[in-house]
Amino acid sequence: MHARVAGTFPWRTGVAHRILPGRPWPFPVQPDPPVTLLTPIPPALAGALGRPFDPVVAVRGDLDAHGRFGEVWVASDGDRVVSLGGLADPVDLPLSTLTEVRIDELFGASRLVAVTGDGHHVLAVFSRNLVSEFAALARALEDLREGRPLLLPDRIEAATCPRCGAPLPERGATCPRCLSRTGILRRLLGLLRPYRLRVILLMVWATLGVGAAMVPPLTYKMIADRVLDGAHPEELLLWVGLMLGAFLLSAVCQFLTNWSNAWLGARVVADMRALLHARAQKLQLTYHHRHESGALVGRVMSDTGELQHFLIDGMPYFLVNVLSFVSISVILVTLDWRLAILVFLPVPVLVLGGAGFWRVLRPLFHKHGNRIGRLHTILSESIHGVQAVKSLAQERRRESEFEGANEQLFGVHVGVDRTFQAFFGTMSVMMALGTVLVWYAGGRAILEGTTGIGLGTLLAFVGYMALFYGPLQWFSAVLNWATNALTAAERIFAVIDQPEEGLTRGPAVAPGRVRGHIRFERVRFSYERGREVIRGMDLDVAPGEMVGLVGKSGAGKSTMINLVSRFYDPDSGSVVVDGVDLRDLDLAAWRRQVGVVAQTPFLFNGSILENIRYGDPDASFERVVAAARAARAHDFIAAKEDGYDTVVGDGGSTLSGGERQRVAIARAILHDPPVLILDEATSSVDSETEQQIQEAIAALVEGRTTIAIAHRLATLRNADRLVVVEDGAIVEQGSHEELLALDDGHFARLVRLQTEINRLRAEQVVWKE
Amino acid sequence: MEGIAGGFSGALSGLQRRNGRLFLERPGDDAVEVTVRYLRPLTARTELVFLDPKGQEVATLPGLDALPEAERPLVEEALRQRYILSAILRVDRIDVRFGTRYWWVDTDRGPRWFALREPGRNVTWISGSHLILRDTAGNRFEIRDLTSLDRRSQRWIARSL
Repeated sequence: MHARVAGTFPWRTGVAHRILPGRPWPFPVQPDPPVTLLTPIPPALAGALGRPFDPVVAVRGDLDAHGRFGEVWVASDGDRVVSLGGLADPVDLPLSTLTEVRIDELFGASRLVAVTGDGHHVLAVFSRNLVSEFAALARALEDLREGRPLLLPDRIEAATCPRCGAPLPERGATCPRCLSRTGILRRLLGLLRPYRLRVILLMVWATLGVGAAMVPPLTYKMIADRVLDGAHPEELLLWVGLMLGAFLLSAVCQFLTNWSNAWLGARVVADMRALLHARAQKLQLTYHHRHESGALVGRVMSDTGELQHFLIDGMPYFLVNVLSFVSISVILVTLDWRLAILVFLPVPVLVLGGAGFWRVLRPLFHKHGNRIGRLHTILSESIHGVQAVKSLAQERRRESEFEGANEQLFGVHVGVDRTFQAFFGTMSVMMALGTVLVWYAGGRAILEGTTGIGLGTLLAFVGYMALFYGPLQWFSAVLNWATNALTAAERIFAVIDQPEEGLTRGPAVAPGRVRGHIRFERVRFSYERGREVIRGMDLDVAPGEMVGLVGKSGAGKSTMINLVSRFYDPDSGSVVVDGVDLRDLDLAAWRRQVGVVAQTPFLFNGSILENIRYGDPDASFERVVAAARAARAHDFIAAKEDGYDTVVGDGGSTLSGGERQRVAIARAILHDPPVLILDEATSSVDSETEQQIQEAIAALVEGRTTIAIAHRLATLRNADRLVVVEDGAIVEQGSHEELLALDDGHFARLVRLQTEINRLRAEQVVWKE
Repeated sequence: MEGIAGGFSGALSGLQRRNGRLFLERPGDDAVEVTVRYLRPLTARTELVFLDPKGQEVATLPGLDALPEAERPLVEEALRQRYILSAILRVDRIDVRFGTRYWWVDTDRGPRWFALREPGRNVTWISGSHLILRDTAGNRFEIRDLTSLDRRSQRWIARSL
């Protein structure tokens, strides 16, 4: 196989053995200093150039010319670009000879390439850790090459923890290694602050309950020492009564503890869920873009559920048992310290055994979960894909796949249960051993009669031991549980701590009704660093003008309308409305003035009336009808059995595509925005519906600044101007006729292609009939 | 058409390296710049496809053997440069913190410290002992044969995955 690379770790060779002060082991490697856009170049390397070099931008890559993890610097002083280190010959090129600086995506890494007239020069290969830094570098080099002023981004979110150097789960995230559990616990407990009184009450019940539970074994002692030896026979009723009272009080307090805790735990979790939901609404769309929605829903539901479990069951358990553990220990030592030592003897074994048991069980649980998941997948595939399975005649294979997964699950299941049983067995033996020891030593002591240990003390010990050992074996389980709950809490806090969208740069300008003059000024934008989707775009849309965006999918049209809605902010450049940068405008006030009709309009589960009114719940019914009529929706709504009260179902599922579209248009008309964004559906509807939608759109567009992603011929014709977008840049603009006249134009080509497709479709229809 | 045979192009020759780029000479036509990729980069790195700068297929080969011996090193070099997939040779430690697993490993490219999340999604098991990991930044790591690792490494992995 592979040759072992021996001694490559500094802490193994001991040459550079450095453990950071204040950080616990394991901390094997001194982290590299962070990569910035002006990373200092080691003088020895810069010296290789043989001339003074004063970089304006310098980034360190992490792979050398042989593909090994190493270091390479790419830098520019404004005149030349150099690549130093990396075990290859330095590259040193005048910027003026470059025709392009680009990033090639490789498998699991990327490289920065300078293109000149005579070839490609690889400036650096870098791992995925440095994508953002090199994207910024590439853009900076392009700016320098074209003689534009150098505009570096204000900051790049860190990929490694600035404190401990660990790779972060995602850029800008909090470092899990530097996160303190107590900090999270404190924050979690901070959520209890509004319910202080209840917490104090809970503590009172818990303490009282533990105190009461301490009494009965003492009464055993009293009965044995004072009553049974015949000295005070009249006291029997007193001690038995006390025993009964203590039992009752303990039970009542336990009930009250759980009673108040049920409320508190559920309260905190409900608060957190509300906080999380509210925050999810305000998150920047970039967050939603980067994370699957499922993950967020999971966070809202399952993580809070995990937390609830712990807060309701775990916390009181912990509280009560720590209290009783401490008090019993104190009582035992006071009663007789020699016997107490015997009781404590099995404790380390119980605790360590419990911990060891969990170490074994945790991966088993994990495996168990994975295998159940696998079984679920197979099962649901078999059911949903039954037709495909049958038609490919693969029933046998599905059966054997299911059987295989089922058997595996069976195996783990047996493993989990057997481990549990083995653990309980061992633990009872340990506890029994403690009891046996105490009886033996106590019995001998009583027989010898010299140690002062009486029958009463022995009975009290036996009573306390039952209370003492029981909870111990679960201590590690609860700690494990706490870890999971804290992990869940951490994930929740991570969402809560995300930046809110729509923060203005200075004081927010609250616009009155805008005129709708929209300008793109050298806008650049990327969803992921390194993949620019809008590349320095300029566009001017006059108030009331209708602009149709045309281009292939992925050209950047949707991104442009997302920028106008300010779902995202440009990386550089700006989107300006009536002379004001969107980032200075009050976000909610701006969004209220932008109407959006999406390609697949989203309807909320409610009536048609509620949906049309969604943006303006106080609108009179008459206005709703007027809007529906303008949107050519009134007729079909009126014809429905429930009229405007028709419930549209989940996502509007009870309406047809064309109906949904028109309800959405009615919603936009009622909203009456000065600026309209229209994302036309590509799917074809029958020609009558098509005509109605066109009429509805015509009514909607009237008098508003409109930016439309246009697919339909009618929309293209109606637009005052068409803007052809390709690869994040505007390549053509003009009216429909003007663009068609450009024989070799992008638009003319797109239309020819479209006509061809339509012709084929038409033939298909004929053939079908 | 005779069935669906002929998934692969016939033998290919005429590859050249110019200015760090790969070109294919075509008789009676201009040379075309090509990039080479594996068709099954995860499960079997054998079959190759050559793409022109627009991403259109130029040729698909069953393996390096379909190339003249003299041209193979060119392609091997190009593949080595494209597929940055580090083979894990030793696992020194795996730490779990709040659901993030930190791996300290030694690879054929040198030592590395990386973070892994959601192993269900980011660990691909090619077979029972062959797996590919994707760290939180998107870098790939490969363990070709779990059983060939030393016992300590195997124990860390078994405990974590």
